[in-house]
Parts: sequence; C-alpha cells; structure tokens
Amino acid sequence: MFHFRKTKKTQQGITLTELLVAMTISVIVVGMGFKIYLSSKQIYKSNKNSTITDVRELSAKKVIYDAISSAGLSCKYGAKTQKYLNRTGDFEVGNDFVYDSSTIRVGDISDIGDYIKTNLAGSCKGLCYQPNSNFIMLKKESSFTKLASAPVNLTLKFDESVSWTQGDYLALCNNDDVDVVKVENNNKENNDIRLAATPYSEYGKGDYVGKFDINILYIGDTGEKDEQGNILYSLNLFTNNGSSSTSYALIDRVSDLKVRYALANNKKLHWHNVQKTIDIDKMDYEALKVSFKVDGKNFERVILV
Amino acid sequence: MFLKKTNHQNGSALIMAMIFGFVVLVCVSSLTYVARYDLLSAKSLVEGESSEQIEEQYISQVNSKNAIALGNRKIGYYDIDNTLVQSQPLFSHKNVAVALYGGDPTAISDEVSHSLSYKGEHKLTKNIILKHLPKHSMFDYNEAYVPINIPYIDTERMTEQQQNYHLNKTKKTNIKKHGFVGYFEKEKTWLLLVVDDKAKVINLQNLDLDDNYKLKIGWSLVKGVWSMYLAVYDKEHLYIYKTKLADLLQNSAQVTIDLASPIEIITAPSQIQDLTWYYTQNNGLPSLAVASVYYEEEGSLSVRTFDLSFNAEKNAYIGDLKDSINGIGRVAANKVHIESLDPEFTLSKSPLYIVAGTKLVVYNVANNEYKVQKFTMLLEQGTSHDPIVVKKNAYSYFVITYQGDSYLQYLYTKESDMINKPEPKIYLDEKIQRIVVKYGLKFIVTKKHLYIDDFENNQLNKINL
Repeated sequence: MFHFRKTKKTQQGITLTELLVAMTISVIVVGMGFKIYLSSKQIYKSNKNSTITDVRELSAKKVIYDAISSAGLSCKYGAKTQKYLNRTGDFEVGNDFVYDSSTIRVGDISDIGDYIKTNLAGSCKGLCYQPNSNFIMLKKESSFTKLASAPVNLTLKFDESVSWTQGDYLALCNNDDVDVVKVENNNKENNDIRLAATPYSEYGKGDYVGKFDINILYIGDTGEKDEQGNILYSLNLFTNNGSSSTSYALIDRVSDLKVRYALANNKKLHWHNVQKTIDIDKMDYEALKVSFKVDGKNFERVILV
Repeated sequence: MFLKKTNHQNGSALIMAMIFGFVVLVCVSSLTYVARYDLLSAKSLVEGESSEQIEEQYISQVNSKNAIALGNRKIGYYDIDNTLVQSQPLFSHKNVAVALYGGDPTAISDEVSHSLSYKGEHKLTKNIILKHLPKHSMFDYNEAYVPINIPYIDTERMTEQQQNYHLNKTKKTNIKKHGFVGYFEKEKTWLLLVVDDKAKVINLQNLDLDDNYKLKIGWSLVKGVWSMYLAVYDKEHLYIYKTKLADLLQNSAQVTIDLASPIEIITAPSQIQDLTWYYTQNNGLPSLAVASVYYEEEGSLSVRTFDLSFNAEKNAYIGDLKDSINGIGRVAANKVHIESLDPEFTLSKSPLYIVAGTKLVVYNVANNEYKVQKFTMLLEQGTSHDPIVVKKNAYSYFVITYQGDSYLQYLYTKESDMINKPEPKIYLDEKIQRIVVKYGLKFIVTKKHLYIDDFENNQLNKINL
C-alpha cells in the first residue's frame, strides 16, 4: 500500500544542488571581484608611483625654473651694469655672492659645503648634502619700495613703513651703482630705517630699495634610508636673509642635481659641464640644462637665460 | 517521493554577488578617482610647464629684440597681453653734463604688465622692465642752426611740491615727446622754424637786430604743459617770445601769432654778451640771467649780471641788476660766458656759473631761497667757448674749458671756492672745435680726429675723421 506523504506548500531551506550552484557562483563572483580588486590595486599602485614620480619631476622642474626666471632685483635701472658696493659693514668669507653683481651662480656643492654647514649650525641631517652634485645659488628679491627722499647719513626714509628687520640685506639702486646695505633697526612710526653703514653712491627720491635673500637649491640628505639602505635625498632650498639661515626640503626623492651650460659658437650650441663655480649672468651663456633624478629615473629641463 | 517546489524561495547567492560586486565597484571607483585626481595634478603641472615654455620663448624673443610689443597678441591657444605701466628716463649722477635742459638719460626704462592666458584661462601676470635708448637730442654745432630739444627731466626725483607745480594730476607731462623735434635756421632778417618737417618763416625785419644775432631756448613746465621760451638777442636788443609745445607740434597758426609779438621787457639790459635761461625758485617760470660787459676807463673788462624775471601783473619781464664782476683785466668780451645748471634734472633753482677772462664766479641759489652764495675763483686761462660743467659726484664738479689746441679740466668742490690747478691737455697742431660729454666720457672733436677721453684724462680711443 502506498503511503502518500502530503507535501507542504511552503518549503523552507534550499536543496544541496542549489547550495552548490550558489556557492560555485559566489566563489566565481568573489574570485572575480578579488581578481579585479587586486589587479586594480596593482595598476593603481603602479600608476600612483608613476604619477608621484611625474609630480615630483614636474614640481622640481617648476621650482628650478621659477627660481632661475625670477632671480635678481627688479631695479628700474637694471641690475647688471652697475657697480656693486658692499656697504653692509661686514664681510663674510664665502659670502661674496651677496656683495657682487651676479644673480645666478652654479658650481659643485663641495665649493659651498662649509658655508651651508656653518650657516645651518648643526641642523643638517646625515651628510647634509649629496656629494658630487651641483648647486644653484640665486639672489631673490622678496620685497621692494622707493626712497621718499635722499638718504641722510644712515637713515633711509620711505612713504610708508616697511617690514624689514635687523640684519636684512637691502640693495639700493641707481643708474651707476648698487649699494648692498644691512638694516640696523626699523623705525616704523617714522617710516624710516637705520642702516649699519652709510651708502656710498648718491641716491635720491624715487630710487629703488629692495630686500633680497640668498637662495641655494641643492640636494640635501634627508637622514633617512630606503629598504636597500641607500640614502634618501631631497631637493632643498637654503635661504639666508642676512640675519638667519634655514633650509627646507622641497621635494623628496630628488637627487643628483647637475647643471650644464650652453655656449653658442657659429650658431651652434655647445653644452659644457660645470667644472668650477661660475656666475651665469656674467658671460654670454645661452641656456642652462638642469638634470636630476627622481626615484632613480633621469629628468632634465632646459632653461633659456 | 515527490517534492513539490515552493513558490517562495529564500536563496541569497545573487544578493551576495551583488553586494560583492558593489563593494568591488566602489573600491575600483575610489581607486580610479584617486588615480584620476593624481593624474589631474600631473596634467595641471604639465599644462603649467607648457605655459612656462611658451613664456620662456617669448621672453627670450623680447630679450633678443630688446623690444616688447604692446597690446594683445594671439599665438595658437595662447593670449599675450602687454600694457605699459610707466616709462621713465634714467639719469646717471656720475660724470654727467648738468647744463639746464641738457639732461641726457642713459636709457628709458619701460615697465610693462605682461599676462599670459591659455584657452581663456589666465596663467600668469608679471611686470617686465625693459630699457631702451632715449630719443636723441641735437647740439647747436653750427651757429646757423639752433635745435629744439624737449628736455628730459627726472620727475621721480622732484619733490611733492615740484610735482604738484610741474606735472598734471596723473603726475605726468601732457606730451610724452622728448629730445629733438625741430630747429630754427637763422637768416639775416628772418627765422625759419622747422618742426616735424613742416617749415614756418618768422619775420625779424622790424627788430633791428645785428646780422650775428643769437637765440637761446628755455622751457617751462606747469601742470603738465610744456611751453617754449625764445630769447632773440644781439648786443643792444633782446626780445622774448613764448609759445606752447602743443602748438609748436600741431598748431602752426598759433605759433606764428606767438612768435610775432614779443613779451614786453621793462629795464632791458644793454651791452649783452651772453645770457641763459635759469630758475630762481623750485616751482616757477624760467628767468633770464644776462651778462653785460663794459670796459672801465683803464681798459679793464667788467661784467654786470642782470636778472629778467616775468611779472604776471605787468605781463612783462623786468630787468634787475644783481651783481658786478670787476677786475677781470684787459680781455676780449667774447671771453665772458654764463651757464645755468640743473644737477638733478628737476627744473629746480639753478646755480649760475660765469666765466669772465680767468675768473670763475659761481652763484649758488640752490640751498637758500633768499641769500645767494657767491664764490670767485681764478682759472689758469680764459676761453672763447662756453665752459662745460660736469657733475663728478654729490660733492664736486668738473669745469672744462677749451681754447685752441688744449683743454683744461678743473675739479671744483661744490659750495666752496676750492678749485684745483690742472695741467692742460694739448693736441699739437690741432684746434679743438668742440667737447661733448656723454656716457661718462669726453668726446673731443678736432678737424682731423675724434678723441675719446675718460675723466681721469686717459685717452681711450682716437678716431680719424
């Protein structure tokens, strides 16, 4: 006799087959998902590294280009044909760039290594800078104004107060001379400043007065090492305003800064390595080629001068 | 056994798959977004670099041409806009001739606001300072021609009061022209005025002048308006005319009227040997300083200096005897010269230098409004040419006199009676025709050669003529 079991209309749970199919589909989907995720992550990582390198490279190029193109004083008389006079009241050995007419100087870092180390007073990390790399030294104007009247002894008078402080380097400029002077104190109430020494040349109302810093782009030691134990370097900016010096790491992983200069001969450019410290604006250099490495990859930028 | 399939199945595989899919989608999207964001940074930097390269090439072109085109210019997707902010003459204050109206800038400095846009997006703005040579001025090398040179002045060095008096509301002159714009050609009874290649005849027939009459041009600058003053004189006659520069350049009918009727002179000096325009105050119209010569009974020359200043009430110039220089000795009248200076090129009160025989008399009104300082010194020899006064520095001047085959360069300490005794520089068998001071050097012209000397009297060059 057959016994008929009455089936329920609403069945709870799933069959083994359904479970297996569902699990198989899930595994495939999850596997695909992970595969997509992992490969996306890998592509992303690779793209990110490449982009970071690109950004570092482009940023380094921009920093170097901006620094070189904006170097110098915006003196209406120009600032190349005048005679530079050191009227700061001091003369620091190795600091002659402050008092001469050069705007851009390049050379081997070892030539100014002591200058950087001395001015940073022990705040250097590791080797302080990368040996056998080049530096780019620039005069950089940070602010300027005009004289309200001819200087009287040590006092310069302006139409409005200026924010310059003791020790700041200033350049006074007329058609014939540039007197490099130093601020002794700033009397903001009277819109005047007192200098450490009197200017030598004759200046009058309307003549240019600008504050400038000495900036040096160089490869600095970050004090860190990568997984292989190699020293990590960065593109650094050293700045000296007369009273103090500081150095900032601008862009990480930049190393091997090298500068070459081009001289034209019979309308052809000939590139030369920097063998010794040279002042770029004192000769007829056509262009500079600045090269550097970012994460071990070489890059270069040609800058017309 | 039969199993009946239920209509309400509660399986979750699809939902789980969708959840996983969604999670993966979100992860990938966020990674893509971050990557895209980084790429945008790189793209922005690349675009920035392209703009820099365009800019660099443009500046390099400006450098090589030493000129910058004003206005808007399109290069592909790049828009370049240049606007002139200001243009200023630049004066040297070392080894420069400082005769009034003789300001000779070493260069003109133009400040140009320069902006660059890419596809309408602003990329950079910077101010470019560019120097170029000034428009030339002419010397009256031949006495038959008298050049008209609009003076270059240093408006930046003017005091606030001077700027208010001399310049317009924008602290500029109304007419931007400078340097040589025309000339007078002297004929016996008429003057030919040539400006911008347009000639005008001015009749002098009724003035009763000698054949060898002379002209001296002066200038006033009031509220930005230049006016030219013309003194026409011989030994016994002096006539003063005035016309506006704007008319001189564009309204010749008005110039004809202005130069037809001289301004009245009350108490005019006689025996005029030399005269010069000069300023008795920082903010004022030019006056005339006149050197009249007389011989004493014993034959010694004496010079009387007159001032002729304009009196607005009487609308006339009034002559006033200011000083006498006696004891000059038996020298010819052509050894008397009067020069006015403008050491700052600001149309300020003018020091006056009179050379009479071997006497050099300096009237210095620069430091005191009411009291004129007078210094008298002896020179090594007299001269039949106008002396050249050159500013050495803030404290001293060179006074150069020349005659025959030699010149003398004296060093005079400002506001004192200290002058050195120099050795003459001689050019054997050559007669010096003229000495011109320019670029901080002396250009000595003889019939055969042009010599170039520095102010330490080193000969830098000798050019055959």
